[in-house]
Amino acid sequence: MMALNLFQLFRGEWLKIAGNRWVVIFLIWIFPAAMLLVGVAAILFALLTEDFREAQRLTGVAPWNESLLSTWDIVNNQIGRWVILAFTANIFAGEYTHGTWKNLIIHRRRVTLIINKFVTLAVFVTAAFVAVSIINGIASGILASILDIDYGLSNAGAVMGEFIKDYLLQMFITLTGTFIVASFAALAAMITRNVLASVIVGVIINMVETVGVVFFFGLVDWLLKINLFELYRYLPTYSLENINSWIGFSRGLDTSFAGQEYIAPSLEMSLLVVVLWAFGLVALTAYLFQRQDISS
Amino acid sequence: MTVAIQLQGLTKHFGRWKKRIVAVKDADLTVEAGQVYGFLGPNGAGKTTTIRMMLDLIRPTEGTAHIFGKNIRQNHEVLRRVGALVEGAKFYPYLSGRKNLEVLARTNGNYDKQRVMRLLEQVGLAARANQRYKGYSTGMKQRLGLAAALLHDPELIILDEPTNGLDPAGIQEMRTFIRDLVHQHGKTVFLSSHMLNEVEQVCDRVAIINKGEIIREGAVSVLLETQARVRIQAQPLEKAASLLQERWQVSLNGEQPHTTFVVESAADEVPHIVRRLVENDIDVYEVTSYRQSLEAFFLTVTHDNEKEKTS
Repeated sequence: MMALNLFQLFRGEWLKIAGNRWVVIFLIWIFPAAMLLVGVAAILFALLTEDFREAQRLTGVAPWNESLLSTWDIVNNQIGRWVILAFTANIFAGEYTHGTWKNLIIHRRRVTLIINKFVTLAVFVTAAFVAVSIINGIASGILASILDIDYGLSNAGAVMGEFIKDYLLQMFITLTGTFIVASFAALAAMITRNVLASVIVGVIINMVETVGVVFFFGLVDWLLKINLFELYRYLPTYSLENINSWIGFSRGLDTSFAGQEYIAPSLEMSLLVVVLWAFGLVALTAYLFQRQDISS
Repeated sequence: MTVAIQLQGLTKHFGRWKKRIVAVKDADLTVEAGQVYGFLGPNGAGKTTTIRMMLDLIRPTEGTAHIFGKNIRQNHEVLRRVGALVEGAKFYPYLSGRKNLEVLARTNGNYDKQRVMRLLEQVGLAARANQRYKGYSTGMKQRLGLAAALLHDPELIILDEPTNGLDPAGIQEMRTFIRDLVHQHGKTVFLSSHMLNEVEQVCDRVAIINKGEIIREGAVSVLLETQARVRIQAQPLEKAASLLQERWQVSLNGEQPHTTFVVESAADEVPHIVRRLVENDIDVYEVTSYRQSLEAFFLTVTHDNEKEKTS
């Protein structure tokens, strides 16, 4: 009964978001659509031009498992982050802009509503990037067969267990990163109560977290001779990059600041850091929303 | 007796320090179940702020709001027994009326397609159910808001200015609808409005709020009875008026030469008035007892309240 009730809540949010067609097309379905376009273009070029086939044979085609995995980190690069920020801003600030929070809050606990929004957002992102991943996998497979390159399917059975583990880990990292960025936008939406303003404030928060903090540490080091750079290694963006470095290159992302070398934290430590950030920011969003007056 | 709403010392301040505004001050109110309760006040009096506190949309600075005996801040679930239309209907502009109701019903956890269609029919929107909300007229939006308020068959319905944007026929329909909700379906309706005529016609009891304070509360008939008046035509008029002025509040009517005067008095005092006039050799030609309209009553009490505050 409880599960059915929560599913209804999720379905309501899904209908609401999906109904805002242009927003969903331009901020979510654009990823699989773009991947489809790129894939089809690559296949057509491979079929039609010898030069392209030659060039592609030199660069090669990644095996199926790498093709399926490689698309997941799009969300965690800056462009991907901005798109997620804009999408989240629409989901959260849209309720203020349309004046619809008052319809929802009366009958559901605010915490439930906020968590439901994050969950629905995560489902949209997951659906889009699973689609991107599958399209890339299929397109790369077709390309490999046109070019007569081994796509690694013959030993698929042997690496399947490892692949599933990596795939789930990559999904988990992407979603954790999504929650962090989405929280920036959600917090901005709560402050500004406007979609455009929350995108702008969300982008500013994101930039402060990535670049601004380093600038601030530099300033503190220069003015007060206090080195705070150690803290940078516990910020979300660095931790996500460190995780990607561990997964991609089997080594951490060592850094240097003011002439001092910093050894990267372990994969487990960075995973813990991003999970704590994601939980903390979602909890902060829920807490602030719980205390907010809905006066529009 | 079931108490549907109970407000105790409900207060809301906005802003801080010198910019602090007292939107609602010490509001005490009890609404029994099974009646239409009117909440009257001029624009900016604090009606919507009070309603928002009753629905847990904004936090009171002080005081408590109980719905069906439960403090709403500690028992948010009790609000599932409430349907509300607050400060104009607002929905997702890109969804149709039907989809908007579906989203709300699913959020409430009780989606029933048949009920949604029935409600749309009941509020006269069935033919436009699949049209996008952004294309709706103000009246249609209000109707959809009413349907949303009734979606989960609540026991208490809070309507904030429900007739805003409705045409005269729509206003009449809304009044009938509200009365039916109470008398045929046993609901309780809390109706906030500045349309005095509307409140007078549909409400059993009324509270008047002005500048954040509830200044009068009671049954509509009793409140108006206390402000009853008697119009008298008598000769000599000046003598009659000055004679009655010793005991009642009297005002001469119209421009000079005056033909009638008005005595502020309840109908049951008419025999005393007439006897007094006759005993003093005054010829009485006509005595008409009439009740003040709610509009006149409202203007009198809000005016008196403002005078009290300034003095």
